[in-house]
Amino acid sequence: MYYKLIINIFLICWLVIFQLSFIRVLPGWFMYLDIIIVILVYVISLAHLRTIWWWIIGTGALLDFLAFTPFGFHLLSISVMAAVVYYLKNSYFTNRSLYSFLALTISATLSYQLLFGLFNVINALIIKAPMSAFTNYFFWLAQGRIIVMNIIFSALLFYLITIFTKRYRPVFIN
Amino acid sequence: MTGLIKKYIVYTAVLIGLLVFLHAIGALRPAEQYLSRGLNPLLATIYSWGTNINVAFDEQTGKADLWQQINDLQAETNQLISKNAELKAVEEENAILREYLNFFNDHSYEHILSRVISRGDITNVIGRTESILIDKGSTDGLRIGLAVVDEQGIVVGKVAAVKEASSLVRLVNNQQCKLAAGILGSEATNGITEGELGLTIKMNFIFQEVEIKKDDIVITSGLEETIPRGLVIGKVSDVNKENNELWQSAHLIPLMNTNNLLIVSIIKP
Repeated sequence: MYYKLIINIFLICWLVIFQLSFIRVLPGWFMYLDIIIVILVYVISLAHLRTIWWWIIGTGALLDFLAFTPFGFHLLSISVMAAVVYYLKNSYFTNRSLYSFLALTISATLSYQLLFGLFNVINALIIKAPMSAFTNYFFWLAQGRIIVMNIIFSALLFYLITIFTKRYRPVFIN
Repeated sequence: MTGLIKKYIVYTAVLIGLLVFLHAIGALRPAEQYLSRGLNPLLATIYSWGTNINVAFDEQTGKADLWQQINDLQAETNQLISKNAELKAVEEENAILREYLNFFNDHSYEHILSRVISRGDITNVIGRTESILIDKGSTDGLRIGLAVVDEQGIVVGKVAAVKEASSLVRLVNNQQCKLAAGILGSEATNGITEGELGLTIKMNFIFQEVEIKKDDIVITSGLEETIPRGLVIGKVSDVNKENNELWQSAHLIPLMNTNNLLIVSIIKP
């Protein structure tokens, strides 16, 4: 049990470090990739509830520790995103097909980015700092790019998982 | 199953509330500090891998030989501009100090070297970063408002937020990075610079009678107590002067390249 816990903590740390220090500095559209969201979608879709919970708390807390946004923004955004993805997975996208994962990825990306953007706008209003996220053309352009890159990565991850393991094949009810 | 999900929702809400409360009272500070200190070397190393890929990509797409020549010439020019600014500042101060006689002029700034560990959020601009994270914090003597320069002494930005083991630096192309600036050769504070759209720097509140023209070098004026005078900010690219306006403004070309910042220096006053 502790072995699994250590492995999960190690993976969470590497995921956050990789996103913050490597992905963000890549050239072109690669910098828009958010591997944390995509990996969390797969964890929420394929893992047990307890594992999902630890991943949400772990990634959110680590992001809040390292980032300079007010503490709790990442935790809350990721928690709500996870709730949205979990609900959609159980209610509408139940068959673990590629399209289900892509739809969940889009939902996760939009819910996380919009909620995080809303928190930043509220924070900017409180501290009276300039902020124009939702009225800024570049903000929406960046959201589009983030969704495109996340979809591509999600599709690649889907094929990798189905190649290496048969446990998570799509489930269709006849 | 529904009961289990409700239980986890309650656990999540309680845990988030507890973490936010503990953070607010400072109970998590030691943990945050040790976590940052432990992860910073790894963050810096991985950041350098990504930066090398970025630089390599730029060089390939920009025709390697010409790019190298441009880089070399740019570095040499920046060095000369920085030296010139230093010499001008020295010359001006020397003239004043000669009148008082008993003074030793030392222009060596106390500084702290720091590695860049991450770039700021890119959701507000297209591919241009407006902030970076560095691996030095309050325990290393940093505080808000200090100037950050690159290896050639060109101003990169200003420290905007400080934790125990890391800091947020807003770059000069950030709208929230404001610097009191003067034109090289003038002793006064001629205006305030701020970033524009993450691409360029705009200098505002320049009096109409101030003579400013293209290719003038803009430096920090020393008006801010945390930033010494004479640090190069940028070069004037165009001037906007309307006779019926109270102020004139100018656009500056930043002389630093944000894409390959690996190590920066924080100037302590």
